[in-house]
Amino acid sequence: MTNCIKSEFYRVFHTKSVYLLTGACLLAALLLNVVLWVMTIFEPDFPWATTKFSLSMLESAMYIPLFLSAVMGSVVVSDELKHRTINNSIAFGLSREQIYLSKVIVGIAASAVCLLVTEAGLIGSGYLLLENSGLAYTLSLLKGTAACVPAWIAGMAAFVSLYYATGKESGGIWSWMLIMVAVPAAVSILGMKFELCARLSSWMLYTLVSYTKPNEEWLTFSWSTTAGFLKCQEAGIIGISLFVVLGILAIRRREL
Amino acid sequence: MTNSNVIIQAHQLTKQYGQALALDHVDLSVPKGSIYGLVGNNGAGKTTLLKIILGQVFPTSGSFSLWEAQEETAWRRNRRRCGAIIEAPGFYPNMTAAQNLEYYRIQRGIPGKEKVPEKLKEVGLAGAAHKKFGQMSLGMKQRLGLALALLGEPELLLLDEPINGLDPAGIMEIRGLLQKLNREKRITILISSHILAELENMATDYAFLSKGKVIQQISAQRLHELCGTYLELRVTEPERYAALLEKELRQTDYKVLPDGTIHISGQPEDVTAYGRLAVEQGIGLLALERREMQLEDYYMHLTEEAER
Repeated sequence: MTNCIKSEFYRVFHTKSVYLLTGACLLAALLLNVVLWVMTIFEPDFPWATTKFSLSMLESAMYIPLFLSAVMGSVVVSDELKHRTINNSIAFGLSREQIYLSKVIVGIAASAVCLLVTEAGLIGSGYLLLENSGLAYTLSLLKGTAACVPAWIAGMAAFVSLYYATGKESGGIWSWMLIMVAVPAAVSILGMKFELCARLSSWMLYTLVSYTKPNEEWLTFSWSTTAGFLKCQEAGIIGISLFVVLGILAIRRREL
Repeated sequence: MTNSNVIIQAHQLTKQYGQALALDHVDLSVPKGSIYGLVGNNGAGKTTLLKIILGQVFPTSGSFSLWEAQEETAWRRNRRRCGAIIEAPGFYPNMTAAQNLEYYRIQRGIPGKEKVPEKLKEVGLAGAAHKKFGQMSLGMKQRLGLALALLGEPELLLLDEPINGLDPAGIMEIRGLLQKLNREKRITILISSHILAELENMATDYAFLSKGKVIQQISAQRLHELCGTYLELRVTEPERYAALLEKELRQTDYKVLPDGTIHISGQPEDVTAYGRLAVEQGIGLLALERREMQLEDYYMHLTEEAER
């Protein structure tokens, strides 16, 4: 298993995709702060050139790293059923479970690197270029990140599982969009009318990571309260368990 | 043959895809140290058989052993002693030849980074180490597949049409390499082809497959005996003549074909004795001819008979 994980690390970090993806995310974070800073040149009283606004932009869009987990999942699996690289691993005696788990683990690690670089870039450039609104907003972003980690891992496990279940990268992407985004969105809409749907929706990963509501002070997120934070963790762990079981069943049945 | 001398033993191995029967109750024994040729037309079941042994597809019924291992965990452990190319070699197209091999070297826990350039050199790809797999010709891809198969110093090679896409010089080179590996390192090789001539002068044993069935397992020596010169007789009473052959001429190495033609193998010294036997016993002699059978003719004949 260790060798399998090591080889995946070797492959993922010897291809451009991870660097391009991380670079693009970092660039977007830097660009946000640069644009806000440039605005202060033209309009000295521009109210949004603060770390409070910049960091909250990411905290209120924690569904973006969820999408990132699917994109990184696609980088990690690299359409290996099409390229038949998995055949070599199976022929050598690796178990299907080892292959599945090593992909998920390396995908999580690569996503974590990408997210850490992006957040470091956002926080660092924010403190350099923008008005410092205090440590509270940085801590809030870090708390939000910690709250969403299980959901992102579940997102990664879901993509890898759905890839092996459908046998195609496009199949993996579309079914992931359906299960992770479209279904929660539909349940959330139904929740406006039906109480059961509302309760179900409140446990769905996409709903949890994308929940943002303005309050008197600033914004409320799913993880703003301790109970909410724990709910994010619990829902994430349930998601990870479900998708890992699905993935192992899917890869065990897959003939090459 | 004792079990320790058999590396692969298939028993009634069957694989069904929907309504199609890809393997039909196959029994097969691959002896240790042999170069075992699997010969069959496209769709005969050669690839399916190799894929089952390598765990890529699951058998519908039947069983097989790999170094006496009979269940999944033990098969997986023993697959580490194998090297394989099944269908077209699979590699990551955006990685170079060396990177692809290094990836599998790490995955298999093979010590020594020098193994990668060593194996690339062995298959004649030393100059293409930094070429991306996606930019390689079919012949180069096949060679890289062979380098991967040899990476872990295997005891058993399973090769599915490994010389596809190679030029004549490449075919000679790879054939020479395989023979050398078999001779010097005692590597057992199970190699498939749809062209019997490709395996001639290399295989020590053959299994002929047709429509998912093994129609014959035969040693190369025996095959060459059968494919040499033979006598072809056509008589009015083939069954009675066959009985007389055994009784009067002590000839047991013969075959009566469904149309009544009799083939007597080998090179009988006194050909006239066979004609005389028919005449003396009052059996009408319609034809007596000395013929020669090529390997391909033999295989074609065998396939036609099996399909009849």
